[in-house]
Amino acid sequence: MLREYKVVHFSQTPLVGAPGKISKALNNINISSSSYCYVDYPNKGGLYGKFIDNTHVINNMQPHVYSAFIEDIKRADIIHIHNGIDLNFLKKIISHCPNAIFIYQVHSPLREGPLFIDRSDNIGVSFSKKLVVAQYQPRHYQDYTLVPNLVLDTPSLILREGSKPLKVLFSPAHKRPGGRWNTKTTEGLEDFLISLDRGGVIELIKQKEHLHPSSLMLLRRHVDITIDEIATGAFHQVSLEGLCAGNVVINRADFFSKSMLACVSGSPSLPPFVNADSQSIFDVLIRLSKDIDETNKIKEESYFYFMKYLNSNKMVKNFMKVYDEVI
Amino acid sequence: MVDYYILDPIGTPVSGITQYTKNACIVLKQAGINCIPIHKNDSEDIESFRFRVRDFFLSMDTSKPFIIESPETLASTKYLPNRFFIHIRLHFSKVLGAYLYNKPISKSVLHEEAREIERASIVSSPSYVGLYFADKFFHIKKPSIYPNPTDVQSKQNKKEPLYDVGFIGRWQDLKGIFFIKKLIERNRLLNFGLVSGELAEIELKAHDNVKVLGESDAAILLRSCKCVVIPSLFETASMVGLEALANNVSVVAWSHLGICEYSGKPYVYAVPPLDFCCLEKVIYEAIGGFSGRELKNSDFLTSINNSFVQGVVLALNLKNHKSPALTKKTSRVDLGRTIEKIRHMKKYNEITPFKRKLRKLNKDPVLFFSDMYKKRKGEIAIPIPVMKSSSYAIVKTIQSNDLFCNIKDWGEISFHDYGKKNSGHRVVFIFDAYLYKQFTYKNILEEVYSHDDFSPLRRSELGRGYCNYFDHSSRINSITLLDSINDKEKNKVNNLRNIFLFDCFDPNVFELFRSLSPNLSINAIYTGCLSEEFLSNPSLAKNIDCLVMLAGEEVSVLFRKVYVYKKIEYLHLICRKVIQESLEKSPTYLLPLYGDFIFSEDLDKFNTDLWGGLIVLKENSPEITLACNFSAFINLILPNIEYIYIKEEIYLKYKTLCDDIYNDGYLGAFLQYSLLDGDLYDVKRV
Repeated sequence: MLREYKVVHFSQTPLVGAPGKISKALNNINISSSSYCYVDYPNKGGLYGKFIDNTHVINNMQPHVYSAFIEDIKRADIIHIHNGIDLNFLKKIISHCPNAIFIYQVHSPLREGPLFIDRSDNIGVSFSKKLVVAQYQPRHYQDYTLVPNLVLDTPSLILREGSKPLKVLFSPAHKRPGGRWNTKTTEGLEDFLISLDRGGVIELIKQKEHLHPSSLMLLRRHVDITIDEIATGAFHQVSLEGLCAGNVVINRADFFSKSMLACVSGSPSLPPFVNADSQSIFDVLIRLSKDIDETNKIKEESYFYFMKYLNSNKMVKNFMKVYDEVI
Repeated sequence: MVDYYILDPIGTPVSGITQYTKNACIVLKQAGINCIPIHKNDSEDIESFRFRVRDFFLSMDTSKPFIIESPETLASTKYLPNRFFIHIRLHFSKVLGAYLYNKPISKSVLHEEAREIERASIVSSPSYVGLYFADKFFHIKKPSIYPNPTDVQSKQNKKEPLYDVGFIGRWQDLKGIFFIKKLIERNRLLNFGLVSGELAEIELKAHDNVKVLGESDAAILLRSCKCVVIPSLFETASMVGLEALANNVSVVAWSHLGICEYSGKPYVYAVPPLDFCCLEKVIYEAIGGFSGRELKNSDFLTSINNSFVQGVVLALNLKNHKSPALTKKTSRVDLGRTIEKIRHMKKYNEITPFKRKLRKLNKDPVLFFSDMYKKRKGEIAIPIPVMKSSSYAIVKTIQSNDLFCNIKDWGEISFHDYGKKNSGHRVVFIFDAYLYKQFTYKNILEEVYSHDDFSPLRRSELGRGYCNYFDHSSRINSITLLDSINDKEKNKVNNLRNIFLFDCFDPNVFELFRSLSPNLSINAIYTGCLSEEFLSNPSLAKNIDCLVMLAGEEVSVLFRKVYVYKKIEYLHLICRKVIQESLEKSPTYLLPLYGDFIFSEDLDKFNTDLWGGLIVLKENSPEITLACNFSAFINLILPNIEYIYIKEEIYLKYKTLCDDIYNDGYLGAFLQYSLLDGDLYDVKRV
């Protein structure tokens, strides 16, 4: 069935590419969609320019981008706002799309910056549907409809060879104080991994500079283990990418976080993440480094789970279902 | 028809309030309004009376509307829930009396009166001066001004005048007895009739131009004197004056007294405040004006009573009213000057402070020592009005650098940084800026500080802050408030563990503090009664960790934890308990919460460092993948839960919800709150 509607995604920042990926995945199934963000990340930071492949940056009203945006808005049936929008900007554009349906999607949780409070009722438009990313966030937005974060890459599986050490990809995360779910660092973990690397137990591939997401994915396909944060009980995009790359994915996601992913993916089982915390990660890594069969078994489980439930063409149907309901 | 109840917390025939209550009932009944008086009995103390009032109204059929009028003094409505319509009539507050006579007063009295005035649906005054004076100390919203009534019908015929001057009132300085004594001494040719009790009789027995009558002879005196003098330092209206007028007797009074707003000559002779010579002169004028004939004042008294009825009728409809029967005679400025003059004038019979204390020690040693102790602790003080504002301060302002916040303008919010040290148990009490100045909470704070053995409550550790959350103009939505705080300020809140918001009714303030830090426990304490609307607000339940409220209210939404107290004296203990319960427990224990409590290996292996509890799902329970949102997921999983064990601190955090589970077995609310707050559970299958 050909969907005749057009969806425009809008966010203040690229939100690590999430709105752009939804837009691209919709295009892949022949739904007209485009994605805009108001500004890119600060150009002094490592994220600048890396998450705008599928998103147009309005960038302080650059005339040509802005006029394209207005043209898209005029033709949009659905305007999908992510996290928040500058109210003055919304006032400017709303006159161009008087008949559009508005949808709100939240990516950051309450009591966490930059969102802190549910802003959906104060944005100034009536939202036909409110969505929340199906990870840990639904605890804060308990009545919002669950939607997934998408991974557009093709899944792959490179099994570990017996002669090679356990390859672990670890990306030191930024420190972000003041949030229950913001923390992505575990004190001492990096030093611990370095010592394991020096001891020959693992081969640590440490991402020193921010790579482009596609380069990072390429790197990920050639490692055995992806370590997400093991501090909060949540999992993040990196865990989904780890599954896509056929990695053993280590995080500390609890039953409820994992169940949210199962709900949006239609899977009868929870994702095959390997649970570890700051105390148990040593045992987990030692065990896997010694046991090639177990490593490969988990890698296969990750790959097949992604293939079966998490591929973007399937997952994007969650959004399609939402749009079909409101249109 | 709405019933009108009038509370009389004095209950003695000589009292102006009792007289007012009696007259009001007569006049209102004549006007067809069902007015029911509730008097304090001789045998009961004020606290018993307050409880009797509370029990009486709680047992009433609420389907029939009614309004409760009460004087501000003695706070008779203290224990009545907010859902009742309360009308506070400003007769003459104890606080005003204490201020006028430079006498210290217990801050709890001030607190009680201020709170009742704050929460009243209607506040009325029997005169402009009554309102102006009260307005210096209390926050009075849109007051009504209408006269006190007088009972015209039951008056008997006038007798042949035996006395030139009549005086009715307690033999107290506030009633201006030094003026009376001076009048008697200087005017030996005038006959004085007094109804003032035994003390007056003893003191004046040397004067043969004075006859002191018994308390029951007030009516006789009014019928047999040529004029009545009211030299009181202050009166909002003066029931004696009204009684005199009803008995066709002229009244001589200081011009700043409320009675002067009711009428002028030949009914009321106004004398410039505290001008004794003028008082003498005017008394002679009033006596000279008396020619045995009756004053034709029935029309005037009828209009006064009609105005009173009109004021009450509008109060029944919760409408304000300014009666045209009253004429403003004294401006705020003039009243202020007069009051200051009274406070600084040398009383004729003034005794030295030492003698006064000695007299008190002899008379009531227990009171002497208890007051001395209270004074040392700062619990009693002479009230001081604050200029250019209706607020009121007793002690010096606390140094601003000690304060966690002092939010006067919600547009500029900044916090004090207590640093990381003690951040695990740092506590801050937040008060309304205005009410704190009234010392509403001073007693509670002093009691809290007395917990020296518990470091979070020590004077040196406990943080304080003020917000003007009663200021309606500040009620901006929480997002705007939050956006006005920069990240640096937000991070300072991470150094707090508990925040206690006292008498905050604005949901936006709770949402603001809730969003500032995930580790912050928000505790809401109410020293007064709460409305049904408030107790059914789901936003408050979501943002409050612990609700502390007065017993007797029904909470209709599920709060995480609710503590109720019967007496405000227990509040400091509850504060301590709430703080203790929020501290990290080491070692911690697993408590059974739901299901058959069987021992399993999972319990033995349970890692208390990682998880808040253990949830065991039933054998063969289906995987839940059909839920479209989190609430639906929780509802789907509930029937599949075999049993739950939780850590002690989780139980203490959601005590009320957990206790409900023990009673009704419903887990949904607990799980939704606990997961919302970020607790993690180890979920297993049998």
